[in-house]
Amino acid sequence: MININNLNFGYNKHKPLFKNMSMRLSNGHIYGLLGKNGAGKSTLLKNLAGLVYAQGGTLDVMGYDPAKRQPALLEQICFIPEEFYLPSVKIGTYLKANAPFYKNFDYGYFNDLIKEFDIPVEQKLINMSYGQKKKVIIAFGLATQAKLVIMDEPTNGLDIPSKAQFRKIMASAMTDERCIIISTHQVRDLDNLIDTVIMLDENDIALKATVEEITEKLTFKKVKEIDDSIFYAEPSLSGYNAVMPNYHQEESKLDMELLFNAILAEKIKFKPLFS
Amino acid sequence: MEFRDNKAIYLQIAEYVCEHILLGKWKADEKVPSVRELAVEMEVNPNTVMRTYELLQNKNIIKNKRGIGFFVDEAATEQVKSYRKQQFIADELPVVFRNIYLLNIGFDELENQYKTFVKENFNA
Amino acid sequence: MNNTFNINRFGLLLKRQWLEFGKIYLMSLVVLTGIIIAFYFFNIPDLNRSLYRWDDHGHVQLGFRLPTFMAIGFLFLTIVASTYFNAFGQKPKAIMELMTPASVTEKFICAILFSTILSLISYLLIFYIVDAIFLNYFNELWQHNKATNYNTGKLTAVSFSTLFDDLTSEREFKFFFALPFFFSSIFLLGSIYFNRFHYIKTALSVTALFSFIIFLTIKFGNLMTEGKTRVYAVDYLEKDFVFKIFFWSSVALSLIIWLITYVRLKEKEV
Repeated sequence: MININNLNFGYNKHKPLFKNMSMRLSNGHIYGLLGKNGAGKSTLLKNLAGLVYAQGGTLDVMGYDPAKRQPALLEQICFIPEEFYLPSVKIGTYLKANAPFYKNFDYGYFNDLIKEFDIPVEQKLINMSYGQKKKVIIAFGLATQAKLVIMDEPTNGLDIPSKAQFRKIMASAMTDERCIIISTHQVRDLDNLIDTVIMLDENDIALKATVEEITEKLTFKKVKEIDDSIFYAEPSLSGYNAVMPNYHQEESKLDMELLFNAILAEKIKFKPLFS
Repeated sequence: MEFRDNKAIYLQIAEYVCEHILLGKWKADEKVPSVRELAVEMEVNPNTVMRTYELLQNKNIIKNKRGIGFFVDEAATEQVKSYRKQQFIADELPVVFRNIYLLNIGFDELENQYKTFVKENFNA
Repeated sequence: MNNTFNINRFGLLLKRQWLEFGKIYLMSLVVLTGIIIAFYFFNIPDLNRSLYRWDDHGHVQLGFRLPTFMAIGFLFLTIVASTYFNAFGQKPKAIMELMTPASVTEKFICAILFSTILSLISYLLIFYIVDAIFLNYFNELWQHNKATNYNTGKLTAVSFSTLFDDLTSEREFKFFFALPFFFSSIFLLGSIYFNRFHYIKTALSVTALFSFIIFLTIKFGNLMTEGKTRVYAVDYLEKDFVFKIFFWSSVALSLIIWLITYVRLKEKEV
């Protein structure tokens, strides 16, 4: 679905964001894009959507070059930016103006989502709260039936019940034809939705592995004491939360936050496991 | 559903399904929720549920009828019990044994305790 | 499907832009009408004052009409053009615009249609209507000061030809007809080039550029003509030639600026 080859990009010539980054993403997955602030999560997403142009290397999204901004590709991309704008109209008018561009737009599904999200249909979009607007644009984006769904911090601004609704909706939106990429730093909101973790650090991909692969190779558990086998540990109430190689084929639950910190701190130790 | 921190999600979902079968909520030869339905209910990735169902299929607890969906196996209850027994022997029994050994508890005392427990809890 | 231009998609884009900007555009037309009417009201001549001017044919001269037409027209066209790509200056809006599934060509043609063609047509129409109504009104008002209109042979107080007839009667005027497109194209480019304060920034840049060009021309002219004497006067044909150059260069410049705007739109990153 997506093929990134030696991507080079930077907003500033002297401070490149990506150096020769390569990656392949396929449909039927929900990718979780993680990274520190400024690691380039949003920028990578923008590269995929053709909002910024690669300065080196090639990008292939469903056979198109996103930089050409061809309508045939645009109608297959649902891009939910972190900061977005909705015009001062009612939902109906917004639909009338924008939905016809998407040949497969599913009006019934859109209405279902709006109902599920509890959005007041008669209210003007501009008078809605940030969270409500976000839900409208998520509903719209998913109803376009786009094959590539890109979401930048989608749970930002959603209240607690909405986050649960969002997880349910995403669980049902994931199909075999779809590729969903979600960037987030609120890992706990989404960690059971993500099946493949992509971590950006130091101009490149620090880790790209499925949850299955990670828990096959690593185990996450509480320990009383730290020993040499442990890659990384964080103190907790009853000892330490630790990451270590999975010597005994334990089936532990992936602690994404711990993994994130562990990789930032001890990148070299993890390298040989995932290559 | 609230997940615990110590076990892979797909295994926790497997426990959830087994629990439903043991409690008789999902009966033999009945259809179980589709991968998508269960994923939505659990708020997890459908691939995770798929992994759960593959595991349960291997354990002969559910079976896949092509094009229709997953069904509870006729012998599911037995299979769940044997699967659970395996798990108990592998995961929990060593901890119990370790304590029995450390605290020096005799088998006679253990038998008595066990019988009282069963009587109090299950009226058997 | 054609990824460069598709008439259906273009129609959808026109509809989308109209639903988004239509209301504001219509409101601006109302304001425009108000302003034109106000100008006419303030300039209604008082016939009892001896100061008032009459033209050679005995008609009341309404000299304010042309400057009014030009000044308001200039402001209206440039303001509309300089607000069209406003959205591209704000990241959240720009993302929505760029992600709309239509080609760059379609978005560009749509921009020209709305910012230049539509605004020019609506301006001409509104001005024509207001002007015509006022001319009628003046003729009613000054029943007793009528003179024969040369063109129509009717008795009227003011020369009852519309401003547009006036504009086309002088043949030199025709050479200025590309100017609205020229100014509009400059401000359209400014609206995508600058992220904020499009109008001011465009106006300043253009003023600076024109001053520089005029300065250069004068310097160059001085250099060429210094110490030389004029041999013969510019004749009619040569004057025409200069006008023609002026016309065609304004056409060419408009097209070039549109091309630059198209490239800017294509290359726009957020």
